[in-house]
Amino acid sequence: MPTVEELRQVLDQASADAPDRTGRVAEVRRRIRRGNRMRVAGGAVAGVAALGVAGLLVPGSGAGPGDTGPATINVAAVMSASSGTALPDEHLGMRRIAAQRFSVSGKKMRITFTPTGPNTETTIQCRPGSIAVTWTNGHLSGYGDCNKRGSLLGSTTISAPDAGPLPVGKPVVLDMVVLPATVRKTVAIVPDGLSAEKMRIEGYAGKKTISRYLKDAPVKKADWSAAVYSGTCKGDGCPPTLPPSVTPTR
Amino acid sequence: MRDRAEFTAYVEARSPRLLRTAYLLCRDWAQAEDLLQTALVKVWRAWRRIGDDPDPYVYRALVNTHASWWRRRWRGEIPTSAPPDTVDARDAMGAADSRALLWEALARLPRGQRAVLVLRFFEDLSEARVAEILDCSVGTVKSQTSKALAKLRVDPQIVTATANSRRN
Repeated sequence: MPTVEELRQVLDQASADAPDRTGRVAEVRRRIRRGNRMRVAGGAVAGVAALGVAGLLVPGSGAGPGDTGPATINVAAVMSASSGTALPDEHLGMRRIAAQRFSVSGKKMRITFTPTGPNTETTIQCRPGSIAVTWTNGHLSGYGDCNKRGSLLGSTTISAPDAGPLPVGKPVVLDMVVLPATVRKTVAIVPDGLSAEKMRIEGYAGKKTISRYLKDAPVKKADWSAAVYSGTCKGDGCPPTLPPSVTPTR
Repeated sequence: MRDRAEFTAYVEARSPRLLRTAYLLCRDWAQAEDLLQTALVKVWRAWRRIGDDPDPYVYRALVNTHASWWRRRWRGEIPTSAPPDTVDARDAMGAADSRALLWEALARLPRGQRAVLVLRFFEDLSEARVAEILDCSVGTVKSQTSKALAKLRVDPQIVTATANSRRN
């Protein structure tokens, strides 16, 4: 019949052989930096009624990277693809600087914007059961599902200076694609150029990379929207800034 | 305490102990390391909001993260070419090792009850503190503790081993 004292001893002894791990702080910092770059949160439910709010859509939606449509977006009265209400002019203290709705999945869409502050929030709103993937200036920068979480506007990435700054005044090209969440079973959302060994180590053996997949991915109708906010992020949802000692030197 | 250097100092000072707590929750060292680091990242994100005592927040992050993994990850059979190495309760030597039996019995407890025992009897936290961490009432902590201890006392392997040792 075990006593509480025996229980204490068992818990103490069973956990006594902890492996000696150096570099945990560095590993946590690396995870934090990666999280700042790829910080994702969910989008909201896309009601059918909301999707029909066509009168206020910005023209030119559907422009892909290769298209030569207007790159700078008129942000007046862009509607949320999820709620049907106008996206707020300001979020977490940052001003909205770009927004657009799109109507297809499986194909990269592009907007450009120019950051106005140290933080830039990119929000993609898409249907639950979808994922959104983003490339910033040609580099894979984040992905997230479209499930609703908290008060965030959608699948959200908030940049911070220590996570790879988006310099104020320097135009940024943001490519985005929305895909069914099921593609993650067969597609690795990783940057191009990873070796087969690296893919295997990361658990992606046998999967197509996202770039390869998009070359012949089925393009389907899907309503989603993207918005970009920039400025100085203020609030609990903002990414902390790491000390200079751990700021990447990229 | 909101300073980043203090977060680093906190991780360096507390993580060895927190790793042990994580291990007692998930019973696998590799997963415990992953669990701890995941929890610490969450803690960093809330560091400015956390009061002068980060421990309760950290414990909560550990328990909740483990719970979410537990729900999400498939926990089916693990293929093995050999039968598991368990203690036969009829074996006098095995029966003598009541601590090994107790450790195995802990694994059979529901996840929530195991978390309560770890926080109460490994971290030596008060019932009120555990209630705060688990976001439940003190009464719930008491009842979960009581149920967990009762389950350990009537665990078939422990009961058999105890009876055998008395007989011998």
